[in-house]
Amino acid sequence: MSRSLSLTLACALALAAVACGGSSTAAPSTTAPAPTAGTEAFTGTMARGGTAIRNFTASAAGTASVTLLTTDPNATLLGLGIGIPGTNAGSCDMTTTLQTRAGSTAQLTATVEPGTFCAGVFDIGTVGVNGVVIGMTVAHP
Amino acid sequence: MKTMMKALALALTLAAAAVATSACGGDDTAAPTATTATGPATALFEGQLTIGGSAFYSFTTAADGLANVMLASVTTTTSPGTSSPVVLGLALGTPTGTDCAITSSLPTAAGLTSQMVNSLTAGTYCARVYDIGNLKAPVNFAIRITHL
Repeated sequence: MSRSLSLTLACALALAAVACGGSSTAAPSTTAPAPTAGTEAFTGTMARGGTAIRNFTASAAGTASVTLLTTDPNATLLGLGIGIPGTNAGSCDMTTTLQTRAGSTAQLTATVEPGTFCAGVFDIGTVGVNGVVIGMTVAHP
Repeated sequence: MKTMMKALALALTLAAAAVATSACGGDDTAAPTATTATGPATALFEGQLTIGGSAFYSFTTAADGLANVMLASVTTTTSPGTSSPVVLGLALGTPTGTDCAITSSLPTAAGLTSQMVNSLTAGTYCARVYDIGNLKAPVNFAIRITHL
């Protein structure tokens, strides 16, 4: 009797396991996390004649602020811009650009709508053969 | 005795099947939900505009809804990456083969908010950018079009 019961229980467990096998293969959700407002920081080394671009996503309409915080060599004059991802200047089609040195206050602001944008620096002929290390932030709605 | 054992085994099997079914009840409600919402499509129209010139881009809307047209970038070609504040003509219309028949237009400089927001029915349209007499040299431009 005990052998029969054991066999029956084993079958039951096997049945349950097979029946539940699908649970672990549930298709992952494809919903992307919603963008949120915030400040994104990045550092990088830009080569002579190059660009250093960062994409960001605005979650709502508002003002985006771009700050070139640091450069090494110090006080390197660079182009700074904001635009939409594209191909005209590196990977960014610039809407507004200016020439600036690093500072603690935003050198560039722009009104944006919800969507994906880009900001970054580009060489205006001032970067030496060793390139320049930059640190910048983008604050966005 | 044998009959009793058979009955007990059958009962256990049925119970196990019931447990298996109820334990996996979540599967019925966990059917993959289609989260591929048909959101708006985005197109990027880039090019170079010469003095007195124009360019257009055709696109098709799959459903009725808003179409946003953003002249996002106008930069000089002699120094790529340098923005230009020049005001250009921006228009929406319907393709006519070799051009775009304008239905609405406005003069605008580049910006990061859509300068044109039009309600469109499903169909084929075009966005057009053109010199309204302000260009002194060719420029690169980029237009972002968002539509259903």
